[in-house]
Amino acid sequence: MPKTAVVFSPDVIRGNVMSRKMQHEGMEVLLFDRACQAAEAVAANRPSIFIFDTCGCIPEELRLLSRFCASDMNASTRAVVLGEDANPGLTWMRDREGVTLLSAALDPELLFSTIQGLFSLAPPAAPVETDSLEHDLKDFLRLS
Amino acid sequence: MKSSPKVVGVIGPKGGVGKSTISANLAVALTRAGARVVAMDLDLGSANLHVIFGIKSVPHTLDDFLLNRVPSLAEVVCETSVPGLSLIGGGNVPGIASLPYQRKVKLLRHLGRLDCDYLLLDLAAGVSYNVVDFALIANRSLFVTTPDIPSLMSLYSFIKTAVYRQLYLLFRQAGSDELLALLEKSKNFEENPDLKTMEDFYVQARLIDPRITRQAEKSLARLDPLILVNRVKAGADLNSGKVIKNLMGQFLNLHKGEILSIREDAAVTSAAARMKPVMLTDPSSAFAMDMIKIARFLGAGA
Repeated sequence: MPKTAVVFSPDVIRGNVMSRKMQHEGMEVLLFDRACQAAEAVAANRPSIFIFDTCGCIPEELRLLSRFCASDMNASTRAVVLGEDANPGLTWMRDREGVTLLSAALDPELLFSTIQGLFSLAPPAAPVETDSLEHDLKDFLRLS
Repeated sequence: MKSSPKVVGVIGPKGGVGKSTISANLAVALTRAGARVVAMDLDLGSANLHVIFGIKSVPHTLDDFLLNRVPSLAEVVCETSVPGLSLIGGGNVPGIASLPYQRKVKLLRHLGRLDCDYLLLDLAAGVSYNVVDFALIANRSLFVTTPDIPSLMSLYSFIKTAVYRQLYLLFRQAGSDELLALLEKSKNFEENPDLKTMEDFYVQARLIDPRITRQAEKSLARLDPLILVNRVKAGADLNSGKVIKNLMGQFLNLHKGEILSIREDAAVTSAAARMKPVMLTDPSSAFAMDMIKIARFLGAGA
């Protein structure tokens, strides 16, 4: 079953770049340019991941993010916040469990790589057993 | 402008699998396709590539260059009776076996200036970093194995060592102590079952530094070994190459690589007794045909 992500970005282009990358990797994505709508979607859909792009955010949106992550977000959702560590509006999230801060510089590959790290989305390699030789070799190499 | 030679490493992690015989004959096969070849004996401590060509002693060896006994690398290249094929004999100075990585790179830079199309490195058995580093530096690495389990185990261990060595060099260069520590931990997967496969390692490494981890994945994804299964007698023997490739995919996340087989052939023993390559004594033998097939695979005559 594909993983679902809710993406909030006040910048339509950045939001679309991120969404396309994740869709390309097989994820279902709901994109919003308003923080309150994104928060509602997270509460309603319980996605695997919530991406919050703080680049261009107004302080009110950052406060909403802080409140939401502190109380309303369900345990199965991981948040990835695109922002700078030095941003005083993001100090609340340091060491917060389930929240990962990434540099605000848009790098879709890095973003997806981080998501992979959180959920190990890569499909496990399908074992192809050829014959007893493989079993024996695995035993000898202690790979069984 | 002269282009650099293609560096091909011939590796046989388990001794006695026919690595030097294949190196010598493959070198001849490459010349038959019109290429100019330098075969270099890096089987340090038991150099014998020259013997396969019937050369009783070489005037200079690689040691002479490394110890500055000769002014240039060209001085240690000796001609063979095969047109287009030259040889660099291996030495026996113990220190060379522990050349640091950067000196190996420097040596290969010098070798890269040799005027030839292919530089064939006949590497020593075992899984020492001395051998692993040359395998990583080469443009193409040929892994020689026989179909038996001990040989396949050595081959898998070598490839695994090469993977860890590549990651170690990359993480060290990036100055990431955390990734180095995780790498060290993953070597003992029996005590750390959550790090049993390279994909497991990547998952945890991404949490430490996704950017460097991505670099590492890309770097390893480039490894494209050619597995040569030697002394193949029956169809079942062909399976051994596939088995190694399966294990590489499942546990090391290496999905590239090709398998070629080399048939068991009495002509090899007969040629060894005459101290000549099979390509010269019996060019129509099954073994010789297989050498030509490998030479073509490497792009000779294309």
